[in-house]
Amino acid sequence: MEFFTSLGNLLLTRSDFFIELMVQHLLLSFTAIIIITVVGITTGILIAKSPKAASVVIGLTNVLYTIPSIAMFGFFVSITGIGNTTAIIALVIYGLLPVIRNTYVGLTEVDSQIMEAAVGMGSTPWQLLSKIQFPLALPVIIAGIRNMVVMTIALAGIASFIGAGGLGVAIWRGITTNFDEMTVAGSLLVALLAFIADGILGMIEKRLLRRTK
Amino acid sequence: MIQFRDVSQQYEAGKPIIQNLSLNIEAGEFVVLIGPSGCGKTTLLKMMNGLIAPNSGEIIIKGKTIKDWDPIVLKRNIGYVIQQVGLFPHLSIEKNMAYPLDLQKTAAAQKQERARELIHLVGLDESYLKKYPNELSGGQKQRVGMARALAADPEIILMDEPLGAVDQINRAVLQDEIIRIYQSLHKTIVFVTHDIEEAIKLGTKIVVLNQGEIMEIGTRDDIVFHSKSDFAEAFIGNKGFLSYLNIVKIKQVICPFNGSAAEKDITLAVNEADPLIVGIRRCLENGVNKIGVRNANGTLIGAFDLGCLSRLKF
Ligand SMILES: Nc1ncnc2c1ncn2[C@@H]1O[C@H](COP(=O)(O)OP(=O)(O)OP(=O)(O)O)[C@@H](O)[C@H]1O
Ligand SMILES: [Mg+2]
Repeated sequence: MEFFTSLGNLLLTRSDFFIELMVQHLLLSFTAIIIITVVGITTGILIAKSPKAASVVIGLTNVLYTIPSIAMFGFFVSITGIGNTTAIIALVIYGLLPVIRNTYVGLTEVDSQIMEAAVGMGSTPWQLLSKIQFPLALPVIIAGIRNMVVMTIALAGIASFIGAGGLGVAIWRGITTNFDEMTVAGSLLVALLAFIADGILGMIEKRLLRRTK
Repeated sequence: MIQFRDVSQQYEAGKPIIQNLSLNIEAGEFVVLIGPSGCGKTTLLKMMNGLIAPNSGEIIIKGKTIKDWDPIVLKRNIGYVIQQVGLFPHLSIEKNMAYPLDLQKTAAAQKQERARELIHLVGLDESYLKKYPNELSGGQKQRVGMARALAADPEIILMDEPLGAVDQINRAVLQDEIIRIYQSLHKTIVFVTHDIEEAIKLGTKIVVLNQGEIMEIGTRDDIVFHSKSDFAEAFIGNKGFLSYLNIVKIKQVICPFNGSAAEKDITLAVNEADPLIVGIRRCLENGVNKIGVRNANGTLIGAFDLGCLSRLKF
């Protein structure tokens, strides 16, 4: 009980500090999330046209995904040094898999009869993609993005180990100075951010699902 | 309008689906393709709008060989109702019907107006425009699928078993609507079916196919009474003849009165719009050879005569 009181006190008295870390955390995560979304969806669309390329690309991202995060961060520090850039690169590499895979699966699983109807009416390849295939794949793609967003926000907590900002700074400081309330406060706020982001995306997903099933 | 010259097609080497097929479809014809499952009907339709290219032979659409058509433009010039309807589940009925116009970047107001015309044309009311395909019954979906094929006002319309999923009663209603649309819009229609009665009812020309070859081609009279191939004879057979009796109207076989009492008996008379089978049945029920025929106003206008029937030239 005493622990929670002092945790509450810490959050109140140092609220400026935590808010700043949260803003940093969000900026870091959002930068990665936007890059992942753009690169992941584009890659997914490109490989959807070729099953061979798809198995190569998805296999590769699968392998990258299994590398432990500390090892990945460490590896990139040796190339791009410490700081936000390195953190973003590592976050992007982790986040790509669910987005690429879901985009690919979503696009290729659109009913072939529906596609044939659209082609048979004279859709160009771009019209087919933008008016039929992509909208129908959207629920699956959003599910992948949702997965990625939660993961990226959580993983960004580790980013301060390699000198990036964000709530990881609080966690790191708590650990190194044996200040448990600090560690817990940082972790709780990371979880809170991930929870809120997931909730918002869940609402968007629900709206989309209403129509296409 | 559509010509096939010696067209062959196979998906796998050594397994020909269409064999040296030649076919000529004139503007304004309603051609029905009929034949057992897997005989190549869908393949033929897909060749007509360029979804499938033939391995050999030539296909000519509106005077131009298919190789000279821009494949996108060709498809936009042809309405196509696919075998499984294929409505787009994420689009409202209105957007589904306007899809072919959307592809040509038609103005929004024009698309809306066209959607409203189309929904009436296929016998649904405007409240359906804002619904989604999953809110419609099978028959309603088929109507929307047909409306969509008509949206861009193409001269040629291909329909692949458009009434496959509809029950008998609605089927007859939709068939009548297709006939009405055909007669009022003067389109060239190629229509695939499994159902002999449907073929005989709708087609101005019927093509009987088997294993990628044309077994018989002709009007309903030709197909039912003058079959030249054993396959068509067996395939159409008495079922075809019964359908014929169910479809041909008494109006087409009215004879002059020749003085029997039964002819003038208004209680025995049949309507000119009734099919032959009604007249035959009425005669058998009453043990007479002749009965009167009345028009829509109820006036006797002539006789239905069993003896006369055999002398008709089919
Ligand atoms: N994409 C394909 N690849 C290989 N074979 C195919 C393909 N499409 C059709 N076939 C084969 O070609 C033959 C003709 O098929 P098609 O779909 O034209 O038949 P259909 O007359 O329309 O049959 P149904 O009445 O059942 O619709 C069938 O034996 C079918 O198995
Ligand atoms: Mg078929």
